[in-house]
Amino acid sequence: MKQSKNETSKSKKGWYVVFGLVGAIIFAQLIVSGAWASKGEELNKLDAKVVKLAKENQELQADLSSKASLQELSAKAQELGFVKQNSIVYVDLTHSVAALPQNTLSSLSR
Amino acid sequence: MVASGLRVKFLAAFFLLASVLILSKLFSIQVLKSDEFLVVAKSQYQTSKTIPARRGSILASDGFPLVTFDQIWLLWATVAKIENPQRVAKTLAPLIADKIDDQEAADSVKLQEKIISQEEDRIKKVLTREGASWVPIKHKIKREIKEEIEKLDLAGIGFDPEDDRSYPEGTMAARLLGFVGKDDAGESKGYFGLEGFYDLALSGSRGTKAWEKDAFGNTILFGSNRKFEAMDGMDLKTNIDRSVQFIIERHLEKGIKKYDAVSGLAVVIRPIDGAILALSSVPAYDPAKFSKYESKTYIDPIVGESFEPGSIFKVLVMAAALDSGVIKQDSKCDKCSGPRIIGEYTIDSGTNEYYPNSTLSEIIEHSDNVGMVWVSEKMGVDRLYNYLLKYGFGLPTGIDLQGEASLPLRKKEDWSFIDLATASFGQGIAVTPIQMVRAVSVIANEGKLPVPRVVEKISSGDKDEIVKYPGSQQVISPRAARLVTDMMVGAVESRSNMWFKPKDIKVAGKTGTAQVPIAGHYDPDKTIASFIGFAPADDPKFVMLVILREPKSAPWASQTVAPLWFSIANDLFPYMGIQPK
Repeated sequence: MKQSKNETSKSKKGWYVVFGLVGAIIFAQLIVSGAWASKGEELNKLDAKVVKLAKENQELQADLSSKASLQELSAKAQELGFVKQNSIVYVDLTHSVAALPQNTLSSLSR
Repeated sequence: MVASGLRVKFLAAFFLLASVLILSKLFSIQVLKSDEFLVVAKSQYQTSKTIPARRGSILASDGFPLVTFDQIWLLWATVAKIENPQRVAKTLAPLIADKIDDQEAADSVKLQEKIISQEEDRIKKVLTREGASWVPIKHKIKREIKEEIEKLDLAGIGFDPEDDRSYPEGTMAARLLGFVGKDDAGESKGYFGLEGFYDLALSGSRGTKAWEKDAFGNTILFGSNRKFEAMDGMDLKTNIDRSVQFIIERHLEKGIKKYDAVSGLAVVIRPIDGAILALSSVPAYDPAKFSKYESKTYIDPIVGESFEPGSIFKVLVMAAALDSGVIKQDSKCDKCSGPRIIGEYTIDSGTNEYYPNSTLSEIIEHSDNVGMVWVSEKMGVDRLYNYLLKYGFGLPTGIDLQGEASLPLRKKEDWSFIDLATASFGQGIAVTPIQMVRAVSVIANEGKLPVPRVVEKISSGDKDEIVKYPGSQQVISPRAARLVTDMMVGAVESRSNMWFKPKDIKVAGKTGTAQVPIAGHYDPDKTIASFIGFAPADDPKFVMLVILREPKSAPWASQTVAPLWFSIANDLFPYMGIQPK
């Protein structure tokens, strides 16, 4: 009789453990699911942010290109009063262009 | 007890029946109609979208975008949320109606009002369309307009992003670039120029994304998610130098006005490898508004239209004759004292001036038709024909632009002596400007024929791939090329009073005034004036061809297009670091 009581008590404990474990797993799953569920929303927000930043980057690049275009620069130059150089002087590099007069050289060497 | 037993039996029967009903319904849902419900269920928790591929950019040689992508927007409306379609149409119309380009026109205000009124009617019709719940109102809305509309806070109005082509340099190199339109299936497709030639590389391929979502539409992280990334289109890095392009376009526009020409074109090529540095034909079209122009304006005359080259062709015939050895450097023309009569035709000098015993240099300097007939006579049809083929005439040049015309030469057997004679001074033969500039590059490139090339590299992400082109082919000897170069330098120097150039920069060049063939004869009033040349003559950095169609201010190329050529060249010299020697 004592043995059968012990067995019943053991079997009850077994069930408690099983139910406890199952309960813990379910609870853990609920916690994890809850936590990850909000991550999904976060992921969506991050995705949207990536798209938004890419578009902003695109728009900034387009602005930069349009402001650095030769058409724009030329118009700006004209507006600021720049004029085209029409008489270019080519410098002959085979001869010295800033030579001191001969007498100065001789006075220096003295 | 009996009643209690009956109740139990009744309840048992009821539960049994209910179970059978539930099971049969479950069987119907899960087995018989499983496919149908699976689809319904999936539509609730699964979603997918197409990831668009960005079309590649076209870059100048300095990396600046000539064509890139721009963010534009589709303006749409949820019909049920629009309370007063009339008011919404009236508010939106002035913002999104097309703007007329010519603001200075006398009736521009009235015209603009009419356009706005038409747009208002159109929007109202769209918003009151029967049975529609969502309607697109207008594509290609720019960011500034979008922001203005957003400020109005109109209920039921929204925007979706779209990609568009953007041209930071406006209409620069329009025909070279081509444009992007739609194909029969409504998909974006490149037409003409680089957009057409490299359409596949520029397009890229779309991707897809499928994922599971929760009741709020958020992604389920550990759900079944699949993603195939889109492959963006590749970028093209061209040899186009936008400063050179800018210079030639500005001068061409001025030149067309100054010399009262119908149109004009210019090509600048680096002779050593055939790199196209600039290429422009004026008037062109605006690629951002291509649909507003006639389709015939899309074709670039530089690659797609032929002309009779006239006297600029003489240098090629002379070079071929020297290379073949039929004439020597010191040969003199013994048939140059008067007009030549060939069958029923008389070939004169055009100016009624004749130069007996001309040297080869003098023939080029005087642009002497009679002298060239003598040269061609020495060559004969067979030899000249073979040289024409070696110069690349009769076949497309292979330039990487869509729309290049293929102009086969007439069969050799069909050539008579008069054909040979007229071909020697560029009449009765049709070439494209790109063929012509390529052929003259042979003289500037020690006798080697380059393949004209616009794109240098194709880039995808961090990877660059250099585009491979066929190598140059030797057409004439370097000696023959040098001799003709000297003749061309002489031709420029002999008329240096007609144009301005820095004194000690050697320029090799040749003018050409060709008649325009119409219905079996030549138009007596219309001409095509051209000048082709390269500089510095002893180490050419560029070969440039400039053509003016039907200039009315003066009859000869030396009075119109040649000064224009030198005005462009004088801007190119300092830019390219070409200095007097």
